[in-house]
Amino acid sequence: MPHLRLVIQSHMHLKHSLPYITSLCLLLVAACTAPPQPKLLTPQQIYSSPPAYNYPINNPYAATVIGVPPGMKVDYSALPTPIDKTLVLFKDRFIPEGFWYEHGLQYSELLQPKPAALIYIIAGTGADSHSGTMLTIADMLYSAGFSVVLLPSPTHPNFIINASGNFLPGRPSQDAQDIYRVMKRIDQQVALSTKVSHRMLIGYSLGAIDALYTAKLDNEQKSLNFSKVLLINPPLDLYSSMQTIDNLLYRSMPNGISDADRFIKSTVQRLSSVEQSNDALDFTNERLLIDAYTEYKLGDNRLATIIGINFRLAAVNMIFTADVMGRDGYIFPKNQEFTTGASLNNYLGVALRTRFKDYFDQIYTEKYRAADSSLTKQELIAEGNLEFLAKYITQHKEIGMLTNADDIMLAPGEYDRLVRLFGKNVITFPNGGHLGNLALPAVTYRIVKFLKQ
Amino acid sequence: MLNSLHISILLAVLSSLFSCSAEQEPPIPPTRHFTDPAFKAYADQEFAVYDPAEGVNKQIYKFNAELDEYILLPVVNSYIFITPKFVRTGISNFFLNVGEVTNFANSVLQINIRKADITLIRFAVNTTAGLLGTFDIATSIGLNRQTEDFGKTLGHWGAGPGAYIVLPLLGPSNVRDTVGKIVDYGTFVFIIPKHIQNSGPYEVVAYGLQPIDLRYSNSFRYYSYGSPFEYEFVRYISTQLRTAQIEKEKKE
Repeated sequence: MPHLRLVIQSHMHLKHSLPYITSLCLLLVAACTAPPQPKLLTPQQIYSSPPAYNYPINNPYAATVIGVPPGMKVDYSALPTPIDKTLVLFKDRFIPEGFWYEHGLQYSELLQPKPAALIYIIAGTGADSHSGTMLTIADMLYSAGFSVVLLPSPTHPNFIINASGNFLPGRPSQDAQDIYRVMKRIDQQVALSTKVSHRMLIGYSLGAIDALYTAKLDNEQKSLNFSKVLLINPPLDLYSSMQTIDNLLYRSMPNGISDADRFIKSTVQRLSSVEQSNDALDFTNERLLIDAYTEYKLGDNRLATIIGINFRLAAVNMIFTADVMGRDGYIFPKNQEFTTGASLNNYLGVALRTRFKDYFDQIYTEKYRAADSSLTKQELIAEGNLEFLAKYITQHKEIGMLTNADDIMLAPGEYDRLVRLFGKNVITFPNGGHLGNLALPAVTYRIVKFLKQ
Repeated sequence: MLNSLHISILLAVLSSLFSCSAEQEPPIPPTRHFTDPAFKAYADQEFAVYDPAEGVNKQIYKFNAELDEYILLPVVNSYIFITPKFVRTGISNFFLNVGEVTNFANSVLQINIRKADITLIRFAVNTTAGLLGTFDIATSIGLNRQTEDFGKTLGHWGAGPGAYIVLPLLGPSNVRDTVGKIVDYGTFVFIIPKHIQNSGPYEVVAYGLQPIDLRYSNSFRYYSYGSPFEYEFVRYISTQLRTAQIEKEKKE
């Protein structure tokens, strides 16, 4: 109580030079005249006249990490948020106690009340239906009149545990079978609540390769009959892109993951020095990264390493989950129960040093070859190259591809090969890195135009 | 009623802690094993945080996640369903304004005049012009919230975090910050007049609305990242951020 009185007295003291009421009025006026938020485009405005392409970040690493600056996005605040759904595919599957929180495959949907086209979207490596890119795509498509279903990547632990057929994620033809099984089930569910006129399919990053293989599978089985298929920022060659991205990690961590602690500490320090006036270390602040970039706190190597770490962590989650579920004894002992209480520190240490390539060479190739001895490693690698399906792509005019000339996933020369491969149905932009420009009105316009033409 | 709830939660936690020690056969070494020379030097080093009670902490982490899934989040979702956004923002602001008492006390204890000053003006402005704190006018005129607590005060004067602790309901913490929380709570109880604390409306607000607002304001969702190493990552990140905050404020 005495403290409270002290507070109030000091307050009166501070304000003694101005009459109390006057000072309050001044404060209120100041509050009302605070700088206005930048005016964002509404979804309708995008289509009234084609927006100019004006993505401002020419550094592909920065573009990939930062995305579209907050002031340049579209205002989707009036849209509903996607609804989370759970689907149980394998009722009798044994799920270890350590994954007690897994109750089924998690996907999201945003359905139009009126009959509409339904678009399935497949997430990129390690992402699920809640990832920022997924929500961006959902917003742009829903506001353009489509219903959307958002699916996790077959490399996401939730998908591996609940929907993988063989716990060997990453092989496009196998992943497509798993995805297709999921889609057919969801399609029945959706039909109960809304009328679907026709279906389309979109995938980004690794999800783009999955989308292409799923479309091919559907072309054979003809259950869903996609009228349009769009590949957003696909790799040309999965095996090569996986290594390109994984190598980014070493740009500012020459000793690999052993440098992670030092790197993360110094990056947090740099980020926290950006906004001196702001006390809280608010990493959810949309402007933090862009401010950090413009104030030269995050150089190229640091940005590249951030992307590399993210990718490595996605690989860690995928490889370890697949190992536990498949009882492969690769990192986790095959005769041990995976439980909540088990200490994982040692396994994490090993998993963090396991690259996607190690998994590919040591587990994936071994096990696929064990199932089919005529299969060679070279054939498995070739399957992940889009040129492998060149004939299929040229025969199917409904397939389109969107990419950026500076996509960091593409090695030198791969951009040109990718553009050549898709012929007329190509949408390209000069910059934007990997998915960095996706939320831009001009990019949204081109995507919707392709789907509606 | 509240006490019996506390006791039943405590019992639930304790029983879950001691119920899981089934015998397992010796592990068959995996292909990539941490005793392998290639990994041995590094295993256990990454994202390392001093966590001697790891087994117990992991069970409490699970308990918190279950509580979240089956009780807290359904309550928060109904709360979102029945109240408009501006009401929820007002309620959050109200509790943050009440919390300025803690921010002020700890700014003083850290002898940080600037922070104490800002916090004092914020409290004055928001309590009056901000209608009992439901509007955060101070932030819109450039006086940002200065979050302080006794854990940070201890850190400010050189106390290390000590062992990692997962607190039931409250989540990731450590020895230093747990002591801090108790002290902050004690200070708060000491400051707020007894006749207010014992009034019916206060009890409804403090034990009913405040926990709901606390969960509503925190966007963290258990297992949303989908990683089998979530416990390890949360342990590392929460420790790092806390340390970075204390370090940053020391420099000011």
